[in-house]
Amino acid sequence: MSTSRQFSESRAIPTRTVLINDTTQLPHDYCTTPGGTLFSTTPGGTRIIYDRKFLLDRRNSPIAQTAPAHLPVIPGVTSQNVLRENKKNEANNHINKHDGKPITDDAQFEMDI
Amino acid sequence: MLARDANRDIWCLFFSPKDEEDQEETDCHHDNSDGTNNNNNNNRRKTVCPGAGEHPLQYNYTFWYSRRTPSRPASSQSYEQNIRQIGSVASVEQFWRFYSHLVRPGDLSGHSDFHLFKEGIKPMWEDESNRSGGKWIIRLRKGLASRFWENIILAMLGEQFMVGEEICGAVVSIRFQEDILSIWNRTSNDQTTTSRIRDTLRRVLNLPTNSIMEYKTHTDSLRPAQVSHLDSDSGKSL
Repeated sequence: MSTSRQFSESRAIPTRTVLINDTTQLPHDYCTTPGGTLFSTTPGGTRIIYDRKFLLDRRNSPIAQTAPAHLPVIPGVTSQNVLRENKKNEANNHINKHDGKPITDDAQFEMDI
Repeated sequence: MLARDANRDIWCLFFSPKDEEDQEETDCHHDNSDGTNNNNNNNRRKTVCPGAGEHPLQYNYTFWYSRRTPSRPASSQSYEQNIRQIGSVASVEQFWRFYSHLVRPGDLSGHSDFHLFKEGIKPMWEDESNRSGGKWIIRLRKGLASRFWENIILAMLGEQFMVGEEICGAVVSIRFQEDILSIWNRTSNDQTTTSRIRDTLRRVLNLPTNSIMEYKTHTDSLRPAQVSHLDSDSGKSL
């Protein structure tokens, strides 16, 4: 049974901005992210590895939606609007639904990478 | 935001969100913490950094587009004039911002190519990173280019090839009756690397049956009918 509750003060997650002048000052956990990305450690450093699913899942994040600054205008190549998957040229075998959002994954079976 | 002081090397760790508009205006260094600095950009173009909350890529990449109009001869000088940078990306989110605003390769008209190369490497064999290199090419029938392009670049960005620094970039080439996917690496005679790239391509692309992968050194590609052909069973170069 739980005892009577105690509420602690809520406050914003403390962050710290660090100005560094040299690579030796990089913190040892520089390459970890909250997203649970796999970082393999190799002699001489870490390597940032993402599997296909992880990359596709980031596609709908808000940061990924706006047009990039200075996107050149090349008619027939670049677009100011977000282009969704155009399926009319592709053979569809299998449709992925993702949380009820519009289909963003191309039609193909899942691969284990 | 940490601005870059031209008199000191300052490593950008964070950008505050409201400065995201300015993000691509600021020069920055990006260390991979294994000592390699991959932002030695030869083109005097401003480099980019991942923004706050974004997922950094192992390398920055640059999108290029090229097109050849039928009236122009395919000389190397006219090719260079026909190729242009679209933009550079340092994070997964920045990649999607560009990619979502580009037509899919299958919808390009004419004799067109998209190239996605590590920042600082031009998608031409004359670039010093490509001079000793080669490429795996896969010919695709019409209708498949968009899907396979997406898969090959996701594999490249996600470091699935596991060949150290060897990958230079990937190209999708839209042509009249077929389309061609290529992946370029630095050292054409490094068979361990080229084999591993081939194996990764098989794994991540799930190619149609009877697809043929060919390896070509870039200098071979300049000579007619001189193609390095990898026998897929023995793994030996002929």
